[in-house]
Amino acid sequence: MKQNKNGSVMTYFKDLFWYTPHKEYSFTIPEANNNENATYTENNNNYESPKNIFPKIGTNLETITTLYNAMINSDIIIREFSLIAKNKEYKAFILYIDGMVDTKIVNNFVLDPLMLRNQANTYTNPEADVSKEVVTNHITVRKVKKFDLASYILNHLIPQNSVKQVATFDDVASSVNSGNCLLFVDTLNIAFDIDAKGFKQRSVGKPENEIVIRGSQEGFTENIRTNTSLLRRFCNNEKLIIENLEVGNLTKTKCAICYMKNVANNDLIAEVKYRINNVSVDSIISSGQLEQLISDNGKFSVPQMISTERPDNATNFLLSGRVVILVNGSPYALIAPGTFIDFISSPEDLNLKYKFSNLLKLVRIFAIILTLLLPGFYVAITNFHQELLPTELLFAIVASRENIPLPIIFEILVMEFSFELIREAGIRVPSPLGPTIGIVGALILGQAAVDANIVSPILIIVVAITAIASFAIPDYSFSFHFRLARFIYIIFGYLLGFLGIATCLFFHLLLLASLNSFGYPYLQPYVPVTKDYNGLLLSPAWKREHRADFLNTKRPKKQPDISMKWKFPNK
Amino acid sequence: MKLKKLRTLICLFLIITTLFFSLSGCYNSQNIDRLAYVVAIGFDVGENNKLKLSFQVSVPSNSSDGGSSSQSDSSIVTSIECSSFDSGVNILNSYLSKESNLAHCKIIVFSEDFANRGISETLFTLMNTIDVRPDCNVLVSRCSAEYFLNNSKPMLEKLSARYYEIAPTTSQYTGLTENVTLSQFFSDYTDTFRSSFAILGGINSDNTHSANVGESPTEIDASNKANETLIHGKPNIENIGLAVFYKDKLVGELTGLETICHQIICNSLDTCVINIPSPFEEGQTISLKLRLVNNTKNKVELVNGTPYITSDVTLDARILSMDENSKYLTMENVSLLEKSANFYLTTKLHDYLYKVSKDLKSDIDGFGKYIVKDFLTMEEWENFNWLENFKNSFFDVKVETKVKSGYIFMES
Repeated sequence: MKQNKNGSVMTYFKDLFWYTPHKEYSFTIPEANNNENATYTENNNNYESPKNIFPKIGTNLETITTLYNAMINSDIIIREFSLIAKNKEYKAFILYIDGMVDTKIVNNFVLDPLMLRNQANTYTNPEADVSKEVVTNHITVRKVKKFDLASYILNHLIPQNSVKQVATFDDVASSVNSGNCLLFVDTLNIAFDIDAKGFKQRSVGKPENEIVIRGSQEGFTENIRTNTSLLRRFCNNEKLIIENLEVGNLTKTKCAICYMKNVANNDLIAEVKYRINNVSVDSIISSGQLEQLISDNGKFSVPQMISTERPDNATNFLLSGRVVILVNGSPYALIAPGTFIDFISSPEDLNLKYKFSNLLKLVRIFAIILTLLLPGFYVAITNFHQELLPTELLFAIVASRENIPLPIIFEILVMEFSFELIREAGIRVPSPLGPTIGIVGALILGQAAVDANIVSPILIIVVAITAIASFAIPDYSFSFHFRLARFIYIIFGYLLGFLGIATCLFFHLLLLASLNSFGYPYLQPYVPVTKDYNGLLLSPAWKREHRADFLNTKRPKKQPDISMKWKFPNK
Repeated sequence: MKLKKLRTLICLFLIITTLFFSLSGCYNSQNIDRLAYVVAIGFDVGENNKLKLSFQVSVPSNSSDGGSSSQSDSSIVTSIECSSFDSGVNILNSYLSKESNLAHCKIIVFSEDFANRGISETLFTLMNTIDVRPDCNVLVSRCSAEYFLNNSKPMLEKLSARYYEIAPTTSQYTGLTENVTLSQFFSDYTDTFRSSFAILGGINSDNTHSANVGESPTEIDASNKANETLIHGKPNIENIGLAVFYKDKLVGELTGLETICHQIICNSLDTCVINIPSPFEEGQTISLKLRLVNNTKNKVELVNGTPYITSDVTLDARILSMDENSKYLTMENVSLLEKSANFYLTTKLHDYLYKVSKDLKSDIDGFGKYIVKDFLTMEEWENFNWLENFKNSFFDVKVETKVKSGYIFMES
């Protein structure tokens, strides 16, 4: 009864505020289209495309023309010609996408040997074709080998390193889309998939956003093969497995799952594969999209996978027993699992002496605390806990706020919002203007706001320190999480002072502790506590004997107890 | 399902909101803009009413000129005649446009008159006021508290709050007074084995110099009390000496030198400079910088019901004054100097101890804590009434001074 009552109240509100589509329609739909059970499929139109390649070339041509809408698609090139094999002519055509193949390869190594008469295609040796010869009653019976055109073309006529035979139109489409050239020959119910890729792509360049001083200066590119080769080069071990998967019902984006077979935990590998195989979306264009689809908790804003554009960083993670996921078209590799500690680390840490790295790590922790809490603390202290401030500082704040007409909460929200505005605008504006926005926004606007007595100079300092601290957090999305959370802390600091901030911190920690990344607790190795040597602080290079305990790797030890054998030869 | 989730959300929201507003809530937020910060409180005997309260309220202001902003501080002193401290604060609130806040009060000033009448009630009220910090200083002013607050103009600092905070800390290197906080004063007062004392302060100006400049030349510098030193300058607060209380009443004052003696006995001396009569030349003095080598060993015994108190003092003295024909550079002369210093200090310590016990009857050195262990029950101790018995004490002080000087090292 109660439920019904609530239900009716809810319906009332729903009717009032929400749009509910009508469930009853007054018109009818023709029977043919009224397919109620129509679930989402790729081919939901009436035309059912054939699956296998036909032996008749005319049919194949028609099918391909229809499949690719070749009449209106300008870059689909179908070149018909006559192929000569053993002095016989066969009708043939090649299919490729203009711009994705190397035309020189197509001309010199596909069309040239097939079309022009040369020794290879005009050579006929009837005797060689005889497999058996029996002479009975002066009659010679010769059993002639059946002429296999497909293998003849494959073996003699296409001087190419990578040629495959495909039998279905699905394979044809995926090959053509990835930049290959397809050869169809009359009488053959297969097509030749010739690797003639030659599209323009970015060469390996410097990483733009993860700059280190002493590490490698190579970054991932958009091409998945270049990226895997980079990993191979850094890893330099045959136990590195790179498995290919396709994601996206329409785009069929290639993804590579990379792991060290003798290090990574099998369950982790299986979990990553399971998740990626069971992603059903139309398209994946970047690793950022994939990350959101395979993360454990998509609602909480903290990142649960590490993303890096540095192959050396990715290799370090590979060797520590994690799984690297590459997505074709994205210069960022995803690394699973990612824990809180990983986001505080920078690729530079391993290149520096451990004392410097540890100092930097502490600085980053301090930066996180500042980003998250400083504005909230300022609001809480000025509203509730003024006795906490040293008298001189308090008087400085009071004096600076003497002529400010706005309450502190409004002042700080306005400034924090303006800062986010400046940051966002700085990213969007054309690059020559980028720094100008920063200077105009931060310096001129800030100074003008202070001069006009809209905000106090102390507050500008608070906002500026918060901003600088947020840039010190190495991971972009990790720092984003704290930038977002600080607004909650400001509001709770305003409502409840330190009690509010403490409550917020409690729930924040609770959420972080409850979080998992691919089944691994997010706050490892601290929550839950494990026997671990891979906590926040780095041990010296000669003492890093163990891989992270929580990863349960197949090789728990990285190096023997004595790694500097030159120093202790007898141990 | 969706409905259930929504209901949970609404319930959670209501619970959180109720909790937030009932636990603390916006209603007791104190915005810093709405507060008036009292940096000093003065207590005087009222002319018409029981109490005359003076509040020094800081007025922080920001004066910016040419891009650089400097912070200056002007303060106002408001005096209110009232019957109690809290009603005084109430009247102040109605007088000022903002709510007064005592959390940044640095000093509490009692006038001599007021302290003579007993400050027990005020003391308990102050301790009970959450705002007032236990670490603010307690000072007895030789002039009226109102006059004290009105004339304390910081010369070196811009903020009077900082000035009040720093001024008592000079005792660390002069030894002429002691940094007494409210909590210390209060605990001394409530303890049964010691008496309380406060900083003795005053406003020094040219017309306050008393005529009785020390009897002998050795005593000119340290034997003064607050506002007696011969300083010619702007009127300024001067903290020299201690105000000694018996229970809650002011009973006497100590000079700078006596304060040094007090600190030697209590082990609270950092360093200080004293002048001792020169053993080599009549009428001359030698400056020594004193430091405690070991903690002074105090021992209290009851002999025939009378406290017999012995103190072993070990001091390290560094010769500061030098002249051309310094005669005290040989070992013999140094030992002569040591004897002279020992004699001088023993005399002064005796004088001091008999002054506090016989004249003032107030155990500010806390000798009681050395004897309290001899009593089995608290009742027994309370019946003994240490503070009453202290006046009958006998003292035996031994001073051992070791004189050091850079020149001694060179000559030997």
